[in-house]
Amino acid sequence: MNAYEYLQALRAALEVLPDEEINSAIRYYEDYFLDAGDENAAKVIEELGPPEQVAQAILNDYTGMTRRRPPHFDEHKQQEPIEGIPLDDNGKPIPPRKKGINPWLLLALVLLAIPVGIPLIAGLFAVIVALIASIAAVVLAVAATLVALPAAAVLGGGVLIAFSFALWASPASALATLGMGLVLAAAGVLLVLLVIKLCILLVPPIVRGLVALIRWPIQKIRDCWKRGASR
Amino acid sequence: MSFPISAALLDAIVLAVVAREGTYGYKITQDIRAVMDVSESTLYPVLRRLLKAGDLETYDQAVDGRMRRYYKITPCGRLHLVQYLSDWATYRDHIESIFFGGQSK
Repeated sequence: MNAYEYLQALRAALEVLPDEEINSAIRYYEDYFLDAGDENAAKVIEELGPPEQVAQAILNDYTGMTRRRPPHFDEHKQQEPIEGIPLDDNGKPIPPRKKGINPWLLLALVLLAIPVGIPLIAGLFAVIVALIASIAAVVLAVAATLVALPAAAVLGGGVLIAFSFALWASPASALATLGMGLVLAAAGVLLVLLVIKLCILLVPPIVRGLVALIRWPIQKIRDCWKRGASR
Repeated sequence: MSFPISAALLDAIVLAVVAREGTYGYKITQDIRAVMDVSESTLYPVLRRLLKAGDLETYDQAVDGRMRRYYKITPCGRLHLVQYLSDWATYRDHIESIFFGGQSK
């Protein structure tokens, strides 16, 4: 059996799992064989054992996972008096210590963290505020340009049209001025339409993106806490 | 060895190995096998479990014209590693007080 056949057999043995799980496992062992090198393939296959056995380990873990209980410290096992567990004077097992960070260690960690932590957090906060301010400034500048440009075009066109009436003494320049004014005004109106269209197209996704950006870290932190609490 | 390695201890060991640097499956296995006897097929379920728990993340990096999958620890994983390390220190002290500390009670 070569590495390729081994992976094929492994894939077949994992068939009951969702595709995503199968691909992830195959990807891992593919990398594994490639990193071990061709010359070691036979050795790796021998040490891994039959593909069915490797698959079984993954399947066992998968069913354990779907019960949403990570295979962790087994509390039941810990309480059985097993050989080697410390016994007190009456021959009873000393109750296992509670898990969790030693409160003194935690206190020490917190105290150590304060002188570094507070300036760090303040600095981080300042950076975030500055970032938000600069983004807001850019957005405002863009918005101002988008409003000012068409407005200027329309206004300039209007002024030229009005001005052309004062030039009737030389009809040619009056007509030229009137024409330019009309062109400018029309271009301005078109720009206004373009800006409105752009706003309709771009503003909702931008707002949605911003909201997602802000929610993302909060969601991350919340997940982290939830998992921490469930341990 | 006469002492089996529990799932939690294996989780902690893998977290500690990955915490040193972004690394990949084969190297993690070799690093751990250098110091203890674990079967080559044990590590994938552990990595997968830690990925699902959000303690590790993967990224791909080009090596020898292919993409190799790397693992790195997340802030969440670091938090859990600290917890594991402090649990371990307590556990070790208790056992050692029995083994080497005479009649300490």
